[in-house]
Amino acid sequence: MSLFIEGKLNAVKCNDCGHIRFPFMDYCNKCQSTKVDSYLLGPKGKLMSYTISYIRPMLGNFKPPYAYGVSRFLAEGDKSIDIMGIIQPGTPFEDIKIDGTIEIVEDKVFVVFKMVGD
Amino acid sequence: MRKVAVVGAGVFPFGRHDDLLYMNMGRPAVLEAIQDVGIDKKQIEACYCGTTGGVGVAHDILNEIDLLGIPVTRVENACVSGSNAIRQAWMDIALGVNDIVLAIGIEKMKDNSMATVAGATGRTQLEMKALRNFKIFSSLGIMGPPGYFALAAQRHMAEFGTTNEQLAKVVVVVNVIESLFHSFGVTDLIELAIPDTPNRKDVTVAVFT
Repeated sequence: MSLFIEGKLNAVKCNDCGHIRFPFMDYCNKCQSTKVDSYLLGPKGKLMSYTISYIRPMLGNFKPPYAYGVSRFLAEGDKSIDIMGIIQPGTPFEDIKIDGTIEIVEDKVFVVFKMVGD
Repeated sequence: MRKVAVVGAGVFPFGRHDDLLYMNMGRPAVLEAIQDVGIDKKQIEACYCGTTGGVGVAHDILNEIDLLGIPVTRVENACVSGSNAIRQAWMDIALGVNDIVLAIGIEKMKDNSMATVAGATGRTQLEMKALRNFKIFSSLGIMGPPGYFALAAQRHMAEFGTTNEQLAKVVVVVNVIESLFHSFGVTDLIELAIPDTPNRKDVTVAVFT
């Protein structure tokens, strides 16, 4: 299953208990039901936190230092989901703002966050 | 349950010992602990060894001190592997399974990410191949526990205005608690926890930029 669908995160919603999680799996990890459907998150989210790593990533074709973080995506009702990903490589660190708005960028390996506003 | 006491301890100096094997570091520490408590090593009835990267190293260590024929169990729980070994030893004694148990905590951090030590390379090649295809866990390649803690700390700082200095003071508070231990005459545990830093009681918040 793909991580992304049309620029959004391909999450999964359980039709039995309503639990939403990412990435897509063909079962619900909360109630173990297999009655699940795709549920798209994003493309915009809020950057909750980030940090800068100075070690070489084991995967991916970018060099340190690089930033990664966790972003919050609104789901239905008052639900929201926090998902980790890398900040788009090449983004100046001073442009990264906690509570800033990010947009999902599709990637083969990672969930990538692009800063689009404060 | 029975009461349990730490009766002896030993430590090998912390450092980047690229040229040493796990058993080279573990052997002196275990010998020191046995000497500290003043028992015959043959009185030790079981061993739990907390390590993430060191597969099979407990056997190497015990072989080097000729302590064979006891149950040896490797305990893996990331950064808390050593603490987990102590817990297992405590359970053995508290529940009356054994009277004297050896708990070891040992690790060699390599020059790469936590993933190299903790997870990914310790798994089989086939698991690694599957892991790479199972995309979300690719995050193993860029993040480790220090990264998770950093994300939590950054959020705390953004939300509550917590400063670097305040986080650093946690270390100072720990140091004050150690001083209290000193005042009660409990020095063995401190030396166990903080080796080779005799002036630690002088720790204050230092430079953060």
